[in-house]
Amino acid sequence: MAKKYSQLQIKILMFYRDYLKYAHTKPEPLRSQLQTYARGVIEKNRDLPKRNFMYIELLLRMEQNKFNMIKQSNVDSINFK
Amino acid sequence: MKRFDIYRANPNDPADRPKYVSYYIDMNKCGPMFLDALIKIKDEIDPTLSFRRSCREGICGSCAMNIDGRHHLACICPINKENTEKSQISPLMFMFVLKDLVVDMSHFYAQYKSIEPYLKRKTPKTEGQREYYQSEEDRKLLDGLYECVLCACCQSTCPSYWWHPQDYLGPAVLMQAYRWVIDSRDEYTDERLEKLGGDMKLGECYQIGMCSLTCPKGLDPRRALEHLKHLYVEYKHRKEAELTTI
Repeated sequence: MAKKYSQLQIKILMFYRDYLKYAHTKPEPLRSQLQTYARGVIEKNRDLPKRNFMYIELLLRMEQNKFNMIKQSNVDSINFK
Repeated sequence: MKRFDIYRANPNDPADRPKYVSYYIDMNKCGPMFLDALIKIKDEIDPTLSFRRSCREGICGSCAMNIDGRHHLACICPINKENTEKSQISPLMFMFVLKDLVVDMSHFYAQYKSIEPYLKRKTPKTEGQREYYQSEEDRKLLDGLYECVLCACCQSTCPSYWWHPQDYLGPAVLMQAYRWVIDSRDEYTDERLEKLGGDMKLGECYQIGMCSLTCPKGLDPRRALEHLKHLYVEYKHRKEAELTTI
């Protein structure tokens, strides 16, 4: 049986998918940067307690804000710290 | 000594939980407003407390917060000296907290941007014309609307806005939309009304009146919205009549 995801997990996965889709439409330096960044955020927070909803939602919201900012402006490359 | 219970939260730290922290202040050594108390706490007791403030006279709208259960600008909300019970200060309700009393206003500003809050004209300026004139009566219509400082107090007390923050524009934004709809110099009135009609943008207002009750500047968004709805219905009838005559 397929693994069941929670609504929050689905939201995050959808966002990750959007992120990668957007990255794919961009030329090379930016594409790999976006991909590494998105993957990095997920890997960094992999060990978060599953029930820390507040922090996970905040993280999702913040990353969405950043993503919208990247989409609106004409960026060639990004460098997050 | 008066006790202040202040909401503290640091969402950037995964281990942190929101909590109320009590601070005690001698009221004889403190200014009359809540903002003075907050600044005193930040200066002398706990420098890690964060809140927005700028003008300390109620014109910038930065220091909007929930004081004793009512939304108010901290800079123009006096501390009741006779009341020696505790005061509770928390961030605006139903908005995402960034830290302590600072909330995320980006969605509110995006909504404000969506109503195009600037003068739009169809007829270009004639040679030598510098400003657009309007009569005194037309100017008087704008009183009680242009004073809005966009503090989002009414926005976050509106029960309709709690349920549908994504679709419903909220009293503050709609009042600004109304301000541009009734402006005699603006020539895009019909287009503005047309835009407000879609998807609960205006229709979700049920005239609850919390916005007028809470407005720290003493404005009346409820009445503005009532008139705006009226204007929208008129506009819809006019459009239907036009369609049927053709």
